[in-house]
Amino acid sequence: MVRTRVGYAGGTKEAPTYHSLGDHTETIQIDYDTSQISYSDLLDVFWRNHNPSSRAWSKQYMAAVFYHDEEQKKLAEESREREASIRKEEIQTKILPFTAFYRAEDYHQKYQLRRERNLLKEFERIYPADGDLVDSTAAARVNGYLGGYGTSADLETDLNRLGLSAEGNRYLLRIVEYRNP
Amino acid sequence: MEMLATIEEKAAVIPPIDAATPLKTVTATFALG
Repeated sequence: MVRTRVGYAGGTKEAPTYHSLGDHTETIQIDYDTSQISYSDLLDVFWRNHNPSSRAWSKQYMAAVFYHDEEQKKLAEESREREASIRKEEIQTKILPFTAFYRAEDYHQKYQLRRERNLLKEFERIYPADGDLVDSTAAARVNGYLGGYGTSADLETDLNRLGLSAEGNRYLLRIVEYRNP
Repeated sequence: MEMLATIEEKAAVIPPIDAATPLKTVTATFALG
């Protein structure tokens, strides 16, 4: 995973915002390195992390794959069929063509990291511009650890590559050892 | 020159994991409901 950002997609409203979303859906966009992970792997993570049979209450919170090309469309549709045959129930998750993505406001980005003021301050020193922080692989990685993903053993291998101070490293490791030993 | 110096300073402090970031990536977009 190289970069992650949250935002709005799937609708027609120009320049949506959280409080004026129009017909858009809350989405996550991921830039990934194909030598490390495949689109099929990402689809597996996607299906494992939501309930595809529950009907969406609103377009804001519907579940969907927005495919960027014909290959992604084919793989997404195949994975949807597989899911339907395993679950033996109607799948509500939509497979839709990607049109445009509007990055959400900064305060929605790297949500877990923003709650850890000390770590956030360190990243803000490295990336004075908020947009750069959002695009940082290190910030995305730390955000994931803080969200409870990855083990403390994983973190120990990453720790010296994140750009944090010795104090920041110790602080992050303590949190991760406690939350996801 | 001022701009170059700024970029250089930024490069000096950029976390190593970001410095190693591949330039060519593929984008995927999901909504999780």
